Amino acid sequence: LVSTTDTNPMTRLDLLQGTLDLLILRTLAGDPRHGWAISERIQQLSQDVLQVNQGSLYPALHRLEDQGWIAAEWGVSELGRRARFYHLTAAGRRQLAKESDEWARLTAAVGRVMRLA
Amino acid sequence: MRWQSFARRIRMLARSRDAEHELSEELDFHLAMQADKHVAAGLDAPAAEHRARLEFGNVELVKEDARDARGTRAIDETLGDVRYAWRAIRRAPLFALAVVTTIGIAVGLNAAAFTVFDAYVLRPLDVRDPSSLYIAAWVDRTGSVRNIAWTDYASLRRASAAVADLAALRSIAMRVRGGSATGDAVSASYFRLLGVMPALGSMLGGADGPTPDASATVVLSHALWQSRFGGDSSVVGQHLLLRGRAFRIVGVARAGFEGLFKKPRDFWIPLGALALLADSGASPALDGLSLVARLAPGESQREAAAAIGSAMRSLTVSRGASDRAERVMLLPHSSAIAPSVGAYAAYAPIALTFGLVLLLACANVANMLLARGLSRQRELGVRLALGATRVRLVRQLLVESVMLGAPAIVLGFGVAWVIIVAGVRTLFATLPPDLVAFVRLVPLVPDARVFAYGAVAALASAVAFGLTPALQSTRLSVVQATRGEFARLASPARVQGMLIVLQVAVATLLLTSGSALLRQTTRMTGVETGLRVRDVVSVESDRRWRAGVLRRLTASPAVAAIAGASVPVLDANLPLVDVARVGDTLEVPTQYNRVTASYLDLVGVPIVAGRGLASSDKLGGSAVVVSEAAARRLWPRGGAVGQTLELRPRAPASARDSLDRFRQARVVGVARDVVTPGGASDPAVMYLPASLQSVDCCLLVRARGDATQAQRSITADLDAFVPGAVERIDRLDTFVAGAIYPYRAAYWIALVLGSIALALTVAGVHGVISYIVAQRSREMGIRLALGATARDVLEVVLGRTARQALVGVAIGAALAMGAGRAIASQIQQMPALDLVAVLAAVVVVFMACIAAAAGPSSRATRTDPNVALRHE
Repeated sequence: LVSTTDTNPMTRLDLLQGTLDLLILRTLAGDPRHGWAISERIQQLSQDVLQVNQGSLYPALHRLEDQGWIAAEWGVSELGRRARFYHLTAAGRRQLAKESDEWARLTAAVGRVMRLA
Repeated sequence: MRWQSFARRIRMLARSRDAEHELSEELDFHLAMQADKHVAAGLDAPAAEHRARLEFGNVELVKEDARDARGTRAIDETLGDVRYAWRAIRRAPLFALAVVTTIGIAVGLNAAAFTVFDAYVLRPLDVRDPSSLYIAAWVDRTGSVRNIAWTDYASLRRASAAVADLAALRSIAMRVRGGSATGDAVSASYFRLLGVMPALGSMLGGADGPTPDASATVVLSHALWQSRFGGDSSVVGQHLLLRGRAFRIVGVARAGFEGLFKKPRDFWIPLGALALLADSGASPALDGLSLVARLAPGESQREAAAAIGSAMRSLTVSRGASDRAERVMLLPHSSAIAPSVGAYAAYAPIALTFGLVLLLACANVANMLLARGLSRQRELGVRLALGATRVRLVRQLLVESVMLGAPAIVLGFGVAWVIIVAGVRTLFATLPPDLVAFVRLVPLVPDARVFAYGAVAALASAVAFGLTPALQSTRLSVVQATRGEFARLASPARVQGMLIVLQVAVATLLLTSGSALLRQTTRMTGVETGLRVRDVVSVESDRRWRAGVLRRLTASPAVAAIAGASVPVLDANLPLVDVARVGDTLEVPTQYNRVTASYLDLVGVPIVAGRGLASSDKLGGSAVVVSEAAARRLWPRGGAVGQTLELRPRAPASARDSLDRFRQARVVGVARDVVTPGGASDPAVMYLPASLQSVDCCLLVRARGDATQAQRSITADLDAFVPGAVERIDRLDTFVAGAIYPYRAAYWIALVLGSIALALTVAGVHGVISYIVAQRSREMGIRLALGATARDVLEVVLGRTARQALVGVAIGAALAMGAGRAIASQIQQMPALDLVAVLAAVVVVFMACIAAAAGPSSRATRTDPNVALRHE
């Protein structure tokens, strides 16, 4: 789904199923963005640890749109080109809150096990 | 799938070309942005673009995945399949028409048959909660099933908590306003138990006390109110004459309620009022009642039966063994013909016959689709080679099958509707006119259940047989498929051969049954009943009016002679008694009737030995006349006249009969055999003396001149005397016609079905042989080129058909003989199949098959080797 920079295969992280969806939703929590901007944003914020595989990004966007969590509109990009901008819907916001909670619980739990075991 | 998302998908589909375009644009934008980024990092433009593309991977694959993610793909493809199937249908419209017509007709026939079955057996009674209704009967210590008497019913009502309510009833038939009518005498709880409300006035009600309600009141059925009272809304409070007694009409039952049994009821009176209608005026024992029970909620049939059983046992504990209850049976009664094994078994031959026609139609369709599947082999092979998945191919063929099945459903319903309407019309048009009054049909309306049945049948046949070639084709390897090769075992030729054999067998079976029924009808029409029926009119009257009726009849110019009989001649089964020589153990079951001295002469039964009954013979006395069959069995060496015989009644005689008043009787004469309804072919019959005043049922009148005229003038005469005094006036030949009619109807139905079956078979054989000839034209060409004569080629093609037809005919004939024996054992008066019937059907079917194959075969002989060989 998401791979690290391919310079060093040893640092590659296998992400849990659905993590890409969560990242996309979170990225769209603020302003509407187009697909390229979403992938750039994820890469940037993860300090290049996570590099979104384009082959997964667009199917994921279309799937989320089909589920009604995000919606798309055609707009004009920073550089004046026609681009498809995605934004969160109300349902998407609820879904983001839910998935964020679950993610926090999961990481906290995993962290605890790693610390104490 | 949620509706909104489905609706969005549909919207997206509507602009699917736009969506494709947008997807491309979106991905192009991404690539451009990525390339810009690389340019900014210092690459030159072409290298940046190249790098961006490399990073992105296969654009088409991403597009594919994105389309999948949108969820419109399945719908999209199915729509594509529909368009494709539609083009295929347009390319071969005749093929589609043939498939739709074949399935449509077969489904229509079956839907019509199912409608009848549904109306009588499956459709629940139109009463409150029919599923908790049961009919109860008790079994005595000797094992006989008994109906209940009023006194026991009244005690049982208080006895059991497992039963929510009980009602008792007895059916009664009489003339009402000049037409025959059937009613029920019911306990006060009846309508409350069933939850039936009045359309007008009120229903019979109140409480069942120690004695039944005996008021002279009557409730009319909605149908009777409409037909004989013109729907007059002031009918409540008026009086209606039943057997000459005035009954006050208290209400009209709501439309749709016509009692609990197969024959619709026309009126209801209180049980106690039966005494008012009784012959002698003295109140007879109120027994022989049917018991209807409604189980308490949550109560099981077994527990309830046990509870009522124990109540009934303690009620009868002090009686004799033959009157002491052993147990109580509860039979579910949620529909007019209780859903039992017997009801289904009685329907089975009909369902089987109609089902066979459907099977035949399916075989035909399968053959057509198989032939088509063959010709599409290459197409499917090419699609497989291009990467179509098996699922995809199967789905495409499935869509095609459904597109053939759907119009077949519509056609099927049209056909069913026409069959039902035409069937009912034909029934009333062909019934002997005097029987029409007795026939009442429940409404035959195809409803949702019938629709479901037809839809499932049509779709199942289309899909099952549409998929056979699909599955067969898709099992092939790509190489084989493009070459048009098949796995050996499931080779289409073999499947087609088996289908032809099946069709021929079914057609033979149906036609054999048809011809057997035809022979049966002609035999019955031809056979003398042994009675002179042409000019005899039977008058059933109440004994209270007997003297007056007799006076009128004697005075009537239309009457030439009068006789009497206790049991209606030809219309009802005669009672049975075992008869033996005095002191002998050999008992001959013998039917008996009490008749007046003039009877045998009037109905034209000659005395072959001794004398007939005389008016001087003591009533209920010791002189009897026996039929030849009875005489032959009791005294095989002859000399019956003057002998004494012993009567051994099977059960204790009921109050109405008095056979045991004399135990022995002297044979004074022997009469020619006659046919009796419902009995064996030459029944033993015994005639006991009675007088015109004392006979229970019927006065028989020989008409002077035309019987119909006489019937009319006697009816008018007697109705003027006491309205309702006469229950029925029938010509005897009506009964004969009525006895033959079911066989005639069955014959016509079998003939129609047999013809359809034969037509389907002929079409099937013709289609398959044409196909084979076309397929093998190359082989034929080579054979002819190598010097084969037209005769050799003909032998190849026709020989194949003849072999298959022979096998099919043999199977069909064997089945028919087996089935015939099974049916004959179930139904009396139905002889086992005779050889003539079987042979006739076999010859007709075989010749039809050969004729169907002849056309295409002769085409094969005219194959031009040059053309055939160039064709490949």
